[in-house]
Amino acid sequence: MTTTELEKIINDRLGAAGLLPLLDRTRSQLLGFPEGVFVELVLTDASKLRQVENTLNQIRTELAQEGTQIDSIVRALWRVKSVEYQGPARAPTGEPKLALAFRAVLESGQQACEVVVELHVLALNELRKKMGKASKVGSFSWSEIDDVDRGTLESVAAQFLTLQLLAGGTSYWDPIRFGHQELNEPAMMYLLARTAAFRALETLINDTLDPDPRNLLLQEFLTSLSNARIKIRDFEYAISCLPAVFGGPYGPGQELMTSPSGAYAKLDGKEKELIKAHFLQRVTQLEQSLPALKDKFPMVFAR
Amino acid sequence: MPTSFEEIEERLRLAEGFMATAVIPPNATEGEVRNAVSRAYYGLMHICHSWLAMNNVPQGRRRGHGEVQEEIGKQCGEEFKARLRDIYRLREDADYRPQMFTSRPYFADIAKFRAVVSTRIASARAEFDSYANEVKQFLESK
Repeated sequence: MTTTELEKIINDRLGAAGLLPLLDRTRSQLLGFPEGVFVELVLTDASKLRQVENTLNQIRTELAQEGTQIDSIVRALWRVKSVEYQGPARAPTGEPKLALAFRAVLESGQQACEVVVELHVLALNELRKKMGKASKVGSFSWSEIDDVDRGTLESVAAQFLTLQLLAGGTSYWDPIRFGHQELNEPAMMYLLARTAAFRALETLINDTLDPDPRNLLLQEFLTSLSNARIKIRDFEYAISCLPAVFGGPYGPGQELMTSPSGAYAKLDGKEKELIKAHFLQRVTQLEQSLPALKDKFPMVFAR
Repeated sequence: MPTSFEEIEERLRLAEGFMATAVIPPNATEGEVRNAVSRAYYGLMHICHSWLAMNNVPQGRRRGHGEVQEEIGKQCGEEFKARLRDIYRLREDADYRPQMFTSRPYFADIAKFRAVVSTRIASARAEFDSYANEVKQFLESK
């Protein structure tokens, strides 16, 4: 069975159950492997996860009898609603840990869930260095006075959750299943290296220029460029045509991105150069991976 | 074939050894990140064997990865099975699929790869601890 055939079966079943409108087609994917098909379905409402899982399980059982194996992930898009500092983190035994605990509320459609973020002291030290609090580096405790302020800590924890929620495929995070996340050194170093606006724009560019013939974001982007008669390498004009799929995990007041141009405007000069170079590199890779696009959109890819 | 008690001890030792090496240094390469995922999964898999042996699940019912997941589901519940399966999938990707790093969601961004995967490993370690604590208590009581 081809992935196209399986996709039709899934869409028909979800459509019959009234669940198809909840499917985020830009993030869902089907990948064919020698041992079977990997299906990732992404929903905009976590309260419907169980229904979609049950539907997919029925399909899996039926197709297994015909010799087709399916491995699947059904996940939801979540957004960060709030993050609040709780105090020093503690192990289940009650012993103090070298970390600060934050309680976060996530939302997905009609469902909400709570998760705990533990900010490890080594990650806190990286933040202290960045914020000019060198005298506090190495301290195992945190206080309101003369240390990184609470608002910054909560904002970093929210950005960390956003990063985790944006990862899909086998790297996805299910906040219901794993209600506990550790903000460690590698994660903090990634967060501190770039602004939230840069990361959001970079993710949007990566998703849009992902050289997958079934990439709906890519089709939408190229059609939009063609209609506006904009060449893809005219970077400042081209990014205004990127699909505005910001939102998702971004909570109120947390670097809310309303448009690609708005995110670009938030970058400083160095990050603007970096994101432009990144975009042009992805365009070159796209041309190499899907050369037929140049025939389909000759004006867009003209030099 | 070792007796069940020996297997519990030996699997615990092996599991702890693997989990101790499942670390991602600040400058970890793609290969080191992939290795860390693999070691974390095998640490978790062996501690699951140890825990199942402690609960008298015979080796014949837990030969492959899928069977271990099934037995964990039966003994601990579907959520435990699902968490083990999530980490198994990540390890399969890390060990076998070159595109894992170059395609969504990383697109060859090594800092992002480290940031996300290290968090998944931390979750695997927390899962590991929940089994290991029970196994150690059991061994200490003997």
